[in-house]
Amino acid sequence: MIKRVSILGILALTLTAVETALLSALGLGGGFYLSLGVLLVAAARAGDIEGAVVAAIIGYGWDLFSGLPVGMSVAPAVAILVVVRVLSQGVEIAGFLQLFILGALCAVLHGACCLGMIVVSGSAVDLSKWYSLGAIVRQGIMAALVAPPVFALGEWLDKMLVKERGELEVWLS
Amino acid sequence: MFSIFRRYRELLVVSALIALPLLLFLAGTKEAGERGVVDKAVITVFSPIQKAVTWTVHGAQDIWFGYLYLVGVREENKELRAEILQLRSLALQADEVMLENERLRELVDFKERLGLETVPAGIIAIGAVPAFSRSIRVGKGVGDGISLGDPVITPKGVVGRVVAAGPGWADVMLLSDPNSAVPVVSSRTRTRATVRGTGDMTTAVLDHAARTDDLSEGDLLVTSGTGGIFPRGLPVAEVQEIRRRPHGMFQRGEVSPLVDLTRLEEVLVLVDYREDQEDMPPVVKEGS
Repeated sequence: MIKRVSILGILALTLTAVETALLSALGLGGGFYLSLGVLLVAAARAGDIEGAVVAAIIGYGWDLFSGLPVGMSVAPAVAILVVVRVLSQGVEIAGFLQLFILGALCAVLHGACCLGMIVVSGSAVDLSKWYSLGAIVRQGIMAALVAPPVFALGEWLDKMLVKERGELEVWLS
Repeated sequence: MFSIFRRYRELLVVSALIALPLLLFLAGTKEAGERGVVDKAVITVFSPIQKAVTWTVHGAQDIWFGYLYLVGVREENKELRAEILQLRSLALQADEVMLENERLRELVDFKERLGLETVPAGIIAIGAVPAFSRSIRVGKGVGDGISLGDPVITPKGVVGRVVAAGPGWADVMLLSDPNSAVPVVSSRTRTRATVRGTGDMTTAVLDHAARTDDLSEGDLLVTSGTGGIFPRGLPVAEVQEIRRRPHGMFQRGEVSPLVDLTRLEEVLVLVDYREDQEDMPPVVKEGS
């Protein structure tokens, strides 16, 4: 019943864990939002609730594996999903170019949201080095590059393992 | 109430997923790095993946950088080996140049002492089997004034004579050639004889020495000046053995050429000698 949420959630957490390990092992400065592609899959294939839960898991993973205060990325991730779903009314979430642009947009949105939350909360956590404007743009480009292949992987898994759309909605109803 | 939830369930769930974490974050209930039980459980589940990725990346880095390092060391090793070979070659060349310098200095001194017109020439070819070669080719020819029959010498003594010459080369029949016959006298007793080649580079025979003449082992034989080829007084060979037979006109013996014919590198060709030989004094003081 919650197969899609589990599959996409585990995939997102795994990708985030892999990403953070890669960043550490390779000594890279900024992340590349590997799991954004999964968020795009959720936006494209899952129902509203399923997608929102998957987005919340993705945001939770970002916080958990990045050492951020848990909750900081959850609301932005769900908000990003909502934005993407709204955009999907006019733009099909498929094809390299669309995914490239959406990936970049999602990364920039997440960065902007985090900056906003830091400003609003007056957080003691020094996130300025991660969420400076330059870093947001750089991460946007990286996210744009990795979004299409990760989307393809997530979509393939979803098609393989989940037959119907909106299982959670059915269960809740 | 429940029907309202069912009607707006998507909106409510999504709103809750945005609002609750936002409120929790803004309330500051958890600091960065502070983890609850669920957080720890999730990290515990996924930490093996992170370890595996880190181990793989570090392993790949170790292999890659180790390989590059080894490649670098190998390249450096090759360069150093090449450098060593080059330096060795240079050292050998330096030795060779020094030896050549000594030889040429000796040749120049000899040439000045000789007082005859000479053409210094380097050996450019010898027979394919040096031990049996009876002629050499020098790098000077008729363009340098060399002509057929010109004597060829070194500071140590007679080498042979020119038997063929071209524009930039000349072939020299060595003393060891069986066709070579050099009239000599003993520097000690003035006994006349002929040194004839045998084909052997290290030994020649003494011929046409009267049986009663005084010749003994160790005698130095110099050119007699007769025959019109070689000037008088050039060292030719040293007597090694004398064989006197009880009958006959001549005694025979074995002599060894003073010049090592197997190790020639530079020679002097006496040019235009025969034309004025009548007036020539002995070119080397006999007995010196």
